[in-house]
Amino acid sequence: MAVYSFWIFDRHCNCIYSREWVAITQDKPDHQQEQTQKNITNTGTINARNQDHVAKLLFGAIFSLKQISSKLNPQEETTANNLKSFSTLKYRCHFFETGTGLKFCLLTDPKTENMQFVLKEIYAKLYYEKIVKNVLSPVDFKENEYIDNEVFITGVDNYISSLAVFNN
Amino acid sequence: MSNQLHQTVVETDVDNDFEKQINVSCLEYLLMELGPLALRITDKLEKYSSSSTRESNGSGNGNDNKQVDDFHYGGVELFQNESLVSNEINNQMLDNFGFQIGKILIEQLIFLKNDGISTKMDEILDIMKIIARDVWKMIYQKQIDNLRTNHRGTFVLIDNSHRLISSMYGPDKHRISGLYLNFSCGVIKGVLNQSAFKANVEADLKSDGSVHYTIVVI
Amino acid sequence: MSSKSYKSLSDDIWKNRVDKINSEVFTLTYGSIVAQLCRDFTYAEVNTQLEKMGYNIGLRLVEEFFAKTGLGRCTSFKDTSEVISKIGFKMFLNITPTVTNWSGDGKQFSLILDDNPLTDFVELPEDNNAANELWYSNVLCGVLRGCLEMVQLDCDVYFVSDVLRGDPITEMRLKLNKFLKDEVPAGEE
Repeated sequence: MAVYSFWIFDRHCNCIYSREWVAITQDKPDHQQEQTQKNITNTGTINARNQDHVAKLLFGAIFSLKQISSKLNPQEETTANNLKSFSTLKYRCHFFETGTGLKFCLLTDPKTENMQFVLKEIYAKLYYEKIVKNVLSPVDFKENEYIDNEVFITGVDNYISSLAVFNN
Repeated sequence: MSNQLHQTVVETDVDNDFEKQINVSCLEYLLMELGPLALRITDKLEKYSSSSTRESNGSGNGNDNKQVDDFHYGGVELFQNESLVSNEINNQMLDNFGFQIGKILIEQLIFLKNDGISTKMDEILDIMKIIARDVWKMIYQKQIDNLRTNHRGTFVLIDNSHRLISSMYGPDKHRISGLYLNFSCGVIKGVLNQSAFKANVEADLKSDGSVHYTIVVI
Repeated sequence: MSSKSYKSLSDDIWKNRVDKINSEVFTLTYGSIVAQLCRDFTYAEVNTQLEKMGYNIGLRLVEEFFAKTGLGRCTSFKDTSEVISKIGFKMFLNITPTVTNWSGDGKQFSLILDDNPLTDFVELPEDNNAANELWYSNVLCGVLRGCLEMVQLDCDVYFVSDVLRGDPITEMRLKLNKFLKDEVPAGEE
């Protein structure tokens, strides 16, 4: 079980955080890194792909799937038909969206079980504590403004490293 | 008999009101917002005082005005405005906020401790202890970690982690935390003032994240 | 979600997921701030500054709301009113205002506050225009406006009456101006 990358998009459709441990496109020849990683801190790239076509494609895919799933809602207005994840042959994208339009995505190998709880934890314990409660951090990011808060970045890395599913 | 009943009723009411509870975040957000508030007020006051000169000069910095009023990003834009942040008036303003709150809190504390009788505290050390224990607990939900004195009018209060400042992160951290420390110093001054003591209070943010308040009683 | 389940959710959040303090310090701190603003500005300007304060607070507070409740966006403005009054106010100020006075088009409603921690033991000065011009708790309007904007609702929030001013009840009015359209990525229109 491996984790490939972690992305945060805001309600303005901008990618405000990208953390990539294993590249999902052919651009970087790092496919050998798919063995389990014990500690992923200090590896991979941080905020290197925010303007990338990969980020835009990922966001586009999520956006379209959300639109489709809300249209294909059998229960009409009582409960929203929320997107949980989608899988391809090579990866599974776990998705969580907050009421404020923040979209958290985690890309893992296709066999990983539902990781929405991970994204919810990251939102409630890391994003809220380190970004929202930080007086110096914006709550609404401008274009080209990214999360570069080291405490947040290390926190996410450590939390994901500690998950049992990635440690066997 | 009827007098006794009346007394009981009154006491219960008072107890209930003092035990009213709210989410601690409300107080935290309020204190957090004191920084941007001070910056906005300073800017407004400067504009009022310079508006007459601007009219006579015929020129104006209309762009600056728009910048301060139209921010949308939760106060962060204000912090990035160099000229605004470096204005000395902000420090005084936050100091004053703290001062007023310190005054009111010590009154409440002494009122509560002495069953409604206001007494003046004579011992400076006792007041320092109240600041370190009770006042800090009320505002920051934690006590001062260390209280030192040379028994000759100088005190050092050490707070290992200031609630607001320890959650700050960013390039402006040192500058902006200095701004908020004025508030804490003001609280101490306010408490002392209400107890008829005058002191110089300085706060120092150390590299390990702890804050040292040095209080020299005049 | 039904009205009853909102209540049990909010009770659960208040009991288990919220750190609580005595409201006293909060009331005194806020009162001190208002008093100082009144020294430097006209009451109209004080109202504006309190609202701006609230707006900034609302932008952050809303994330705590979603993080702790686990709710998603509401499906209707009516639902929004229920969530605000039963969960929002409860988990922050431990009060539950009443929702009334819906407008015909369903875009406006009032919140009646029976209890307001901000105003405990507060009396407005009698000798000037405070009772006619100052909205003491105006920060609450800003908080609501900020929160609602983060969920794409452009609203006006304002006080209609306040017991501090001698009115019989304390009433806030929320008016929905428009839904801010969810932004779409370039090329998707």
